[in-house]
Amino acid sequence: MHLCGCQKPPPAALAASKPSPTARQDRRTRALVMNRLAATAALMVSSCAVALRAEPPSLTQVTPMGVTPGAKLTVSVGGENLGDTKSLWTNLPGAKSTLKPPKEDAKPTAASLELQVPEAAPLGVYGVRVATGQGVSNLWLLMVDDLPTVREVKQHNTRETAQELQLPVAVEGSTETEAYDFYKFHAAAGQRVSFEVVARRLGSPLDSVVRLLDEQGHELVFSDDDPALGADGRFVHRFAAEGDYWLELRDVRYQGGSGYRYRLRIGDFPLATVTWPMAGCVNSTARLVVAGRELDKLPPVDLPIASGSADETIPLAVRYPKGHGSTVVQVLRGGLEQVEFEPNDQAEQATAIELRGAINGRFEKPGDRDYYTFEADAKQRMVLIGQTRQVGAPTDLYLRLYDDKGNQLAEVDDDAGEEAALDHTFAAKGTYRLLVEDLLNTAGPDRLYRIECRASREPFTLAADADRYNAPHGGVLAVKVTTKRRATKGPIELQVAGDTAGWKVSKEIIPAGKNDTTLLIELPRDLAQGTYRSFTIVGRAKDDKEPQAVAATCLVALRAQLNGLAYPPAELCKEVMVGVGPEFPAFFALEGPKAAVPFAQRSGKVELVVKAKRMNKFDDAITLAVEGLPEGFKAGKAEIAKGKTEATIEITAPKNVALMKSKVRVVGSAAFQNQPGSSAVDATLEVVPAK
Amino acid sequence: MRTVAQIFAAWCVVGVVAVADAADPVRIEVMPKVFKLDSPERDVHLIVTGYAANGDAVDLTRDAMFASSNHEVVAVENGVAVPRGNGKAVVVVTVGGQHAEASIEVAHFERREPVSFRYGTLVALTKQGCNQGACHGSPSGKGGFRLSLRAYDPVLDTETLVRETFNRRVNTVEPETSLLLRKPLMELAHGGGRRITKTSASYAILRDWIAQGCQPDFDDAPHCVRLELYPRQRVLHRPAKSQQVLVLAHFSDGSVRDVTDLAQFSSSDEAVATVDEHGLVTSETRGEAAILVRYLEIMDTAYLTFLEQIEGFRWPSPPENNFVDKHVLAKLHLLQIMPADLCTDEEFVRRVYLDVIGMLPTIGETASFLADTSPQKRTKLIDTLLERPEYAEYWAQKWADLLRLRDAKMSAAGVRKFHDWLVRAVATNMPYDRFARALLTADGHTYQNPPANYYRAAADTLDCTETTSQLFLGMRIQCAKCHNHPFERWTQDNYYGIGAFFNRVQRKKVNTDEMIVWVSRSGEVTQPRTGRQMQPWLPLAGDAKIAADADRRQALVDWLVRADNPFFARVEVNRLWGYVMGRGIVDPVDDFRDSNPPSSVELLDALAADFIAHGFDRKHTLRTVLNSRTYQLSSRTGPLNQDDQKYFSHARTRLIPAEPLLDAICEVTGLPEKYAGLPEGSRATQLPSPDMGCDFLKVFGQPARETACQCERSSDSNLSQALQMINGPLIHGKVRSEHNRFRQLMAEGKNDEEIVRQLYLAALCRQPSAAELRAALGHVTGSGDRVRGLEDVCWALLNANEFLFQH
Repeated sequence: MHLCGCQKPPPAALAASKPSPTARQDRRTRALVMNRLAATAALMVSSCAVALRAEPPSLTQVTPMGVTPGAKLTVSVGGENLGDTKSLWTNLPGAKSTLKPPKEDAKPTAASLELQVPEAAPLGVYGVRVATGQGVSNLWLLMVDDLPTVREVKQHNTRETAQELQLPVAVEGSTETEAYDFYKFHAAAGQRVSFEVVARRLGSPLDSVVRLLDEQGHELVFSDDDPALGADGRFVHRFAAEGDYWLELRDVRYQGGSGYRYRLRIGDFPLATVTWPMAGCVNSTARLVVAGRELDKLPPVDLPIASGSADETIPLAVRYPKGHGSTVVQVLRGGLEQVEFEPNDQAEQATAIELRGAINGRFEKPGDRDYYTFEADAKQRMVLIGQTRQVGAPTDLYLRLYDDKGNQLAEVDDDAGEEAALDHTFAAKGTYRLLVEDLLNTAGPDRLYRIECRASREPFTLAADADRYNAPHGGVLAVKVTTKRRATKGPIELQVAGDTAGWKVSKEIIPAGKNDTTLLIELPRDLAQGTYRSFTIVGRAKDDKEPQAVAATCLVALRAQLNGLAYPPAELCKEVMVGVGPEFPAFFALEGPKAAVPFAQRSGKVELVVKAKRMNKFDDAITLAVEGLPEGFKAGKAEIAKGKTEATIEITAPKNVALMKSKVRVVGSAAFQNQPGSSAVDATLEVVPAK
Repeated sequence: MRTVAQIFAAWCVVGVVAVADAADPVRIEVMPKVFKLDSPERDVHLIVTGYAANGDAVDLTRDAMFASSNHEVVAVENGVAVPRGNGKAVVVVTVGGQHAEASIEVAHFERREPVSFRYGTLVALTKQGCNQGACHGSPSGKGGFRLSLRAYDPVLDTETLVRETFNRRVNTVEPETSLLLRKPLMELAHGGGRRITKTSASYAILRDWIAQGCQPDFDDAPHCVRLELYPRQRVLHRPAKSQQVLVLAHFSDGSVRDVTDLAQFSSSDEAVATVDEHGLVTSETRGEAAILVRYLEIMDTAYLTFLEQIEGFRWPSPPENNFVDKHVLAKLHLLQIMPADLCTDEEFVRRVYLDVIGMLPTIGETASFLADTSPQKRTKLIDTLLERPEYAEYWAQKWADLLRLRDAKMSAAGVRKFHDWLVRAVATNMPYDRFARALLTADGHTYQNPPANYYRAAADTLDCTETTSQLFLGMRIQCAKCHNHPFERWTQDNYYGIGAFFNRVQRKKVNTDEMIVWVSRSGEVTQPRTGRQMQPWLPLAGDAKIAADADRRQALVDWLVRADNPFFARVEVNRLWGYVMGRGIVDPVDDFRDSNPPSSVELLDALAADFIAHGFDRKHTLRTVLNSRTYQLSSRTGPLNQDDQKYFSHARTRLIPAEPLLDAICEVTGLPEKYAGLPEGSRATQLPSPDMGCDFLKVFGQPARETACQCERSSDSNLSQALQMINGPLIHGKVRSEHNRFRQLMAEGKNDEEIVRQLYLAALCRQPSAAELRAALGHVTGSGDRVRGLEDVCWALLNANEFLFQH
């Protein structure tokens, strides 16, 4: 039976024969698609390449990219398999959406939803997905912005055809292959204007290059990567003379297509990066100074720090007192926030600290470095974890630990792109010094850092291989979970958490010495088709006396999906999403003998032949069991071997068995693409007199 | 033997008018004037120089008579003072009626000095060529006998000569039977043939060293610290055509030894002068030659100029536009090479466009320039071109070659970001000292700070050492990685001393495409042969004193950009000169060495001084060169300058580089190329890397950017190029295109003559001559098919040398 009516070609075949326009234009996107397909294929335990799953929705376009607080607007989504769109998911607090009824001739590549953005929606970047009857889509990032939005016009590829803008504005567009986008605006003498491309931060592959040109075409500013933002460039320019000016925007490799989208913000917003200090004490009001480049004077901000997850930041929208637009910086939830006291460039000037809470420092001038001194006991463990780029500060921490004689005990840089972490257990009680430097010896108003001081650290990390999964109704989802072990070699037990009542988990152990497992989660049937759930995966080292719960992250998967965005919003990395699709189709059916099977008295046994009709190229073994045997009868172990279509089940009975007729049921069970399946056939045993 | 009078008579008659009536030198000089021989094994050559009344010199060493005041102390044999006993003697030299004296002291005559392993045995083996790269100095040796290349590793050589193969190479009891002697004497079969004779100094040294028990040197044995040459610099007028060079070695104990017979000699220009194994330099034609003298790893150079009166030469006293002309013309005058006339305006406009912005002028630009009657129009055009954006793009591409911008090295996005940075560095005329500092001290994200890609292309300490040396010091130091440089002064220690500036440079990946370059606070370089930890070392300056955890690269750049740095400014002005003149003052432009002297030291020094004085302003230097009369000379030669290849008496014709050539073809045909990954209308000179180019460019010498050597861009002509031009798809396609220039002109109703004239202006920046026009029109008319005829004319123009070559 085909519950989903899946006579369509499998997704892999579709992708191969009819790539999307984006994929045709964009090798990078195509590579990503291929990666995803490869990952999907790798998930399939069966050697068969046939895919029987429903085709979940995928997003390649969400318009607009930015919404303003309080707005009620239509959000258009584009992609694949959107014809059955049921709802929109977002982590934007208080947002409400309703599906706009599709037109009769609507194609499954688009859908529209009405989105109500709360007036109090905090500015920042949020995730959206759409759910259909076939599952849930990939993540898409959306910006809540307080600048008015306009769309780019067609054909503005030369200075002569530049699109005129009224400032302040955020213009949404996408680059074209081997072309420029031009914008024109008017500026007054002495006017300070901020320019910012938001692209990579929304998961766009665009690596923008922006040039500001005067009327003669002379280049006033050339802007490429930003130390704090990476591929998204930004700058401030104060115009010397009134006049018309042009912005030229392109991808650094002249790549383009609808995927190369950007939101170009132009206005009088401050180019803020981070706050000093970078965290505020929970349940208090923190006084924060906004740091950034080329900032005009900004008053300190008093920000109430509500309790919440320590690794989730609080967005702080910063604007000039008479400004018309904001920039969002992230503030951490902290506790004891210790700050450096300059001068502390020399060991003897070290700032005294305690090994708890956090240290906050900054490199304001070239060559600046910060010494700290503290007491530690013998066998005391100290874990220092840097926090810089994940919060927006462009600092690259380099930590060195010394004893009181100046002997270096440890040094760390960051690890494979992650923040620096120094883990040290002191051999003896004494006074120690910590030297904190920027690895590149750079300095500036936003070269800030925060270092968390802990007494321990997770003994391992966990990563899920994707940020969303789709499973058949009542079916199984397979999540590959990988660990990086720090302090444990033993087995790691995994659990799912969240709204997961009735979920059955198998293969939930990462064995000792191994670094991954494919966690199989069977969903309850009461989780209806078209619904979705977010959940977390938590692991504990079984050998630990007091096992610490470690949550799996999907950061790596999201980075790949979002074109290398180094730090997607933290809360989106902690939970994975599963969408529920239709039933998984049957993939085999058993057939038994139609006539009664004679069992000769005193012969002691009989052979029952069972056949299987295989479907959808299912080829694996089918385990057989016989139910309903009369008392004294026994059935041997049997299976229809891989690739075969029949098996013989040997049924034995005592020699003095009475003449009778008995119905039995042969039940076959197998798994295909991680999904269980079963089929049963009835047969009749008839005990007949021996000849 | 000729008489001195004969020599001087000929010299004066043929050579210098001022001494035409002088039959003898007005004075003579003997060198060394005072010398001490402190061992019976040592002697000293006496070099005699005669001076004419006008100061011109001639080597009279082989014509002089020598008389010792005390034959018990010193005897003179063939011009060599030989010790006979302790004491002092005066050697009186007589020639041409003039006298001079040399005072010779002999000491320790009774002391038999043991043969030094290093300064005796190894020097002798080196002199005879035993340890050269083609013989036993090759990495695997020859015939099972391996010596270090030119004796750079005395420890290895001791092992080889004394201990290896059970000491069978030497026989200390019967030294003459040693393999070490019998083989090079050819008493036994020897693949290298006869290398010594029993009368040679090398034989005596090797024999004595074996007889003395094959002793190594004591650790505190004196070592050679420098050489002293005589003459170090000399100008000789015909008929004088030879000069003996005296080589004195100064040792760390203060002693001085004549090592003329043990030193090795080579000439920088064998076409001008050759030098034999005894240091006698002989010239066949006028010109300059540097005689490189090597004594183990110590080197020095003698500079000799040979002049002759050229029949029919009359110095035309051309005007000088600036100091460039002053130095070039002075050299030409000295060497009696006739400077060419100024090039025509048509030649100039084509030349300067191609050199400065890598493009042909449009027809309109050519016409505008030709119509300008201002005497300053060339200067105005130079100024205009230097401000055009194409100038920045073209010159950035030259640096992109040297800095090896390739997708494979620094990722596709990395290449484009670095290229953008280079274009901006040229466009803003970033001073060269800042440019070098930005590259050499770069760190951080390669996307955010593109100069950090310098350390992606140069991906390890050794590559950094070699790249930096070649780009900024003009030193090709690669050889010294494994052994002392065989032809230069640079040693293996020097190589790793420079490496110590870069050893702390670290690289870490951000993702598959991006990298962070940073500098470790510690880490040292170990010399692989000696195991010694090397201090950062600056050429000709010695070890650098740098704070322990400082970024050593800063100290390197601080030294590099100092006004008194002997390399930095000279290398760059030479490179700029080479780009626009077709040949460097030092050539190849990144191969500065004693044995490859500049064709004009004065010019190079003056350009460098001016460059420094103007804040390392490359545009200023280019402007200076382009405005010089020298740059603007015609490429047409005459009998009085046609042999000149290095003194810039005329413009040097050369194949247009690949990218400007392709752009020129596009301009002439009116059909731009399309490059994948660049917007419509992009030119080949805008290509950030060869990854985006086409086969045509590769055939015409576009470098693969595998090395930092400018030589990787080929400027040679070859058969593939001819085939590309004659019937290659690119030319064929453009000539046959329905949209090309001449078809558009046809569509506009232009007649054949107008079209031919337009094609000439587009391709050659000039009108056709009457004969050319007649021939072209005749062909079009005679072909019977107007379109085919014009195609032929267009094809012929593209295949003309006048189009393909810069001239």
